[in-house]
Amino acid sequence: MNHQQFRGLWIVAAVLVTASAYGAAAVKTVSEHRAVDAAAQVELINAAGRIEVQGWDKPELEVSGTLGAEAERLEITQNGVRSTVRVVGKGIAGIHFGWGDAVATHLVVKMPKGGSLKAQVTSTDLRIQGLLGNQELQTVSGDITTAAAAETRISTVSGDLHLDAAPTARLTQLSTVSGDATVTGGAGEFSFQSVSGDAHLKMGLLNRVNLKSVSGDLDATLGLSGDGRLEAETVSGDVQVSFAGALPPADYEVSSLSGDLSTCQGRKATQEGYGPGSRLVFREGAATARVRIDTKSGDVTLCSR
Amino acid sequence: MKLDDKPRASLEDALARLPQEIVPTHDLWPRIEAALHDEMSARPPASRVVFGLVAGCLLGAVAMSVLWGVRAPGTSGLLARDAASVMAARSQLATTYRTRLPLLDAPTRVRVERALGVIQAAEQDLAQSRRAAPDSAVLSRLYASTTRQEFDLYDAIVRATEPFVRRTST
Amino acid sequence: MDGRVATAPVSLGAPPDPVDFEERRLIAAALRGDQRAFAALYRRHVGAIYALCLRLTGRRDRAEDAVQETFLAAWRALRTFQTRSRLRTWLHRIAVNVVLQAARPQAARLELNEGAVGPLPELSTPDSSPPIDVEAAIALLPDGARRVLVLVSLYGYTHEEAATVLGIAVGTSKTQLHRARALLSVRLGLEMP
Repeated sequence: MNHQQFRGLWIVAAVLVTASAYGAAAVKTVSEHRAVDAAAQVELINAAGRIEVQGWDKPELEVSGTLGAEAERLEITQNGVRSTVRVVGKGIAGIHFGWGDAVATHLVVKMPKGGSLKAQVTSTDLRIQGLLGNQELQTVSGDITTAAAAETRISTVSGDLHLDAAPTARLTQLSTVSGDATVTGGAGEFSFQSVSGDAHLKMGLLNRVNLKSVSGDLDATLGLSGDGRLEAETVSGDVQVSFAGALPPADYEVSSLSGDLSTCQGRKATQEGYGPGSRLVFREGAATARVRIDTKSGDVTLCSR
Repeated sequence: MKLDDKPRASLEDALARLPQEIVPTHDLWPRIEAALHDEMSARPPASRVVFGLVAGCLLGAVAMSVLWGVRAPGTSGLLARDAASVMAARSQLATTYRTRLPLLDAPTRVRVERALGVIQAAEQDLAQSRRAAPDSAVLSRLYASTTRQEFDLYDAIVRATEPFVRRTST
Repeated sequence: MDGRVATAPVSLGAPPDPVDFEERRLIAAALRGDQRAFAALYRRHVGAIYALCLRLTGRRDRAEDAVQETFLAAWRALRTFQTRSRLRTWLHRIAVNVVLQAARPQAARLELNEGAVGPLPELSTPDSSPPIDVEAAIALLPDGARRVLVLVSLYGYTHEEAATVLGIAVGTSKTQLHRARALLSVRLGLEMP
């Protein structure tokens, strides 16, 4: 091999080494441990990828997984009972978040099950299990799957929500722009707000229910407490409300400007006397609760099972 | 394009020479202007729209505080008593929302814009229906609720992109 | 569909200054209800929008109605316009929707566009050699073939985008384009594609 050939070989080798080093740097493995309080407040901030959160019995915070190519580093800061886990991105702030590629961040976060969780993520799928504390989750386009046990507030733009709420889940507030929500269980106060996302609810005994959508459909099976309040409104989405057991003793007022109103009990809607649309107004039993459903053009069905 | 001197010219050449613009044979603006005038005449005065919006916001805020006893997420600012500051806050939020939209990936941005279109189409639909039935409490409630949804949409995007606008590294 | 134009020769007009301050000023004024500002925007873009509507509909009367509806719709929806985009692209999208919405009741009729013969000689274009034959030949195409040709060959849509807009399968779009090009080539005495 002459000098030139050797030099060429050296250059090729250097390129190969550089390329492999770059490839290795594109995915960075992380593994971090911190001691935290049993009632720790954990905050997650991430742009793209997948995060799994698991509650455990240890007073420890463990973060492990891989950082995607667009992530520079994992940063964990602690301030009293609050621990912030932040995936710091490369480049300047405000870059376009079109990250959703195969080399996205994937983290597994283990935290005390009695702690509370707050997540602000952009294009991140969140899967949470085993947590007993409050959850406040905000995403733009990732899906959220969680089991709620206390107070839960979830806000998403286009991600779908899957929530399994325990009877101890006393407050649940869901807000979505176009994502759909599937909820089971729960108690206390529940609200769902959407522009075009649908709600599929199979819930427990609720005290305050507020369901709102512009064009999404609302399909709810639930119980209403004796002094409960249920309000549902859509502009064009359909509304189906089914009560477990007999119809709760309440004042019922159901209105639709141009949609159909029907009940499983065969009650008939009457035309509005002074304006467009039809109404269904009746009292059931002692009428200690209140049910009001309004829609402009959606169809409404009211049932008891 | 005169074709007779290039009988074998390709279709691509022919299409490539088509003009980018064609002037209509007569001015269409007068018809458009007349239609705009009809639409503007049919609208309620701006002051009534503003009043309806503010009243809706305040009504919604009161209803929420009665129903929940707490401020619901996405409603920060809605409990302000000053109607003018509510409007100013909303306008500022809408401006901030537009600057944050580019931070979203394209599919999400499309869905957000589509959702905003749904809300605004619903607002217009409800506003039109209210003109025909001004005494309808149902329409008033739905209109107030829908305009609040627009506010909440702006708020959701602004909050969702907030952590990534500030520099995170030191 | 985002209205992007790749290599189509007709395109949407010469690319404007990337930061068209004058246009932004007019849009801001129009948003405040200034109809004169909106009239100025109309005059900037009516040529391109009318050309699109005329070629899509094949008929001047329908094109004029579509232009009117497009600008009315634009006025109503102006606050949803994202200023970082090009106004013409946005208007283009509206115009395509307007034309297709108006065409829906006619979907069951014969494909041959009987109403298009004749009215095009009055076309007035900036070009010194008005392409009357080509425009008239496009107008004579069957509706489906013409729409695909206009969107794909003139305005740079991909077949996927055209299929989405027209509500047809991608394969149908390709077939229609092939048909349109073959018919045009025959009518214009050109080389077969």
